[in-house]
Amino acid sequence: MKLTNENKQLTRLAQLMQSERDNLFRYACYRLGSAAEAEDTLQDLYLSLSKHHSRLAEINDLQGYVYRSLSNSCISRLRSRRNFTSTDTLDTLSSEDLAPKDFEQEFRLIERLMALLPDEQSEVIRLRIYGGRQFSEIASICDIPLTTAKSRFRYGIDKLREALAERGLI
Amino acid sequence: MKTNNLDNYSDNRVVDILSPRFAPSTNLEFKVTAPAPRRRFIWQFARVGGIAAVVAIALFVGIKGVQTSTAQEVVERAMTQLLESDNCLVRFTANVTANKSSQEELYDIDFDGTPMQGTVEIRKEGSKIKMAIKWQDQSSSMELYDGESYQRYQNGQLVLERPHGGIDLTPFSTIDKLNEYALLTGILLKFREEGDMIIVSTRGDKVGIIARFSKSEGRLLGVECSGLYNGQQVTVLTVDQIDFDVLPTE
Repeated sequence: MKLTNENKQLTRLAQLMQSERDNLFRYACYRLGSAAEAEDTLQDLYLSLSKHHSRLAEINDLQGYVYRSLSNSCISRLRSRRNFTSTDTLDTLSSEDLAPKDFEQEFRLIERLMALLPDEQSEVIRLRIYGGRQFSEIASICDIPLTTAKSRFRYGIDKLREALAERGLI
Repeated sequence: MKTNNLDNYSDNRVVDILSPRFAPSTNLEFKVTAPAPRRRFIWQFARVGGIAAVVAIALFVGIKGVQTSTAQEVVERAMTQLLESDNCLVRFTANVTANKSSQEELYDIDFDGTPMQGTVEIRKEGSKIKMAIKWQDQSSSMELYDGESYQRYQNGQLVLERPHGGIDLTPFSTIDKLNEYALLTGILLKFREEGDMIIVSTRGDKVGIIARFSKSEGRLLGVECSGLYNGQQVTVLTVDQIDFDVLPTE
């Protein structure tokens, strides 16, 4: 059966989201701190992109587009939360906190660390560690040169290292 | 050099601290299927986009004596119970307006509608499946699908009759078929456990549906269908109770 262009685009989207599902989900989980919200966000994203399938044909780097859209969706969700998650400073961080025992503790720890960084550095780190992206892919998602993607990661890790070392935690 | 090695070690330690160890997993599936054929399934009396699955979900999860461990198993068992049950009765409340655009159904479910209680009764008679929707309106309206025709009664009098091909329960028979149908209609079903509660939810263009039930008690706690309307969350349909193998009410 000959696929219509519409079906081709929808199939392309579904296949991509299915193959990237675990990475997308993990990225959303560690952005939002909730598996349920991460699933909701992914569902919404899929429905929204499916609805505007005609635009998909114009997108060469669909994977980058999906990650960028997911990042924006997560930011919108975080902004719409009435009660923002309180982010403790590192001053109260103990070595025990560095060995979380469940997802909630782990998320809180990561949020505290990410709060030390400028958004552009934390985003690169999230895409790399939770989204499982290569630097070349991160460069495409964030629309920055490859060297910038790498340096943002580098600077971010440096800053975290220094902050943790200052407190004698590493 | 020593410093660099220390830095490398520390960097690895930082990356190690950031690396996910407790990442949750998901069963979400993204699939494309052909457009849904126009068939009359039992839940099509609810006609707000995406809302139709509410009764289906209610039927799936409204079960007795659940002793299973996962949401999927519970739903599978619920569907089996539905298919094996001779009849079931679903009590619901819906916001409705009179359907003026077609003779298909008596009421449309509508954000602007008036709350009205009703029941859906499904009964198996041999190979036929009959369904009666009874509305608590002034005319005690009843819509009857008897396997061959659609009949509408008001004040006990037959006011409309037209041929109708019968009710199809096939999409309920397995979880795969349910998921397939849900995908055909653009609905994604999600199963989640929160303590003793199993939550089955879907989300359509206009409305979301949430069904909650207690695993330990094995009973439906409630089903709600709601959506954003004029900036507010409005509940348009609530399934209050489901009983299996009840005596026919007519």
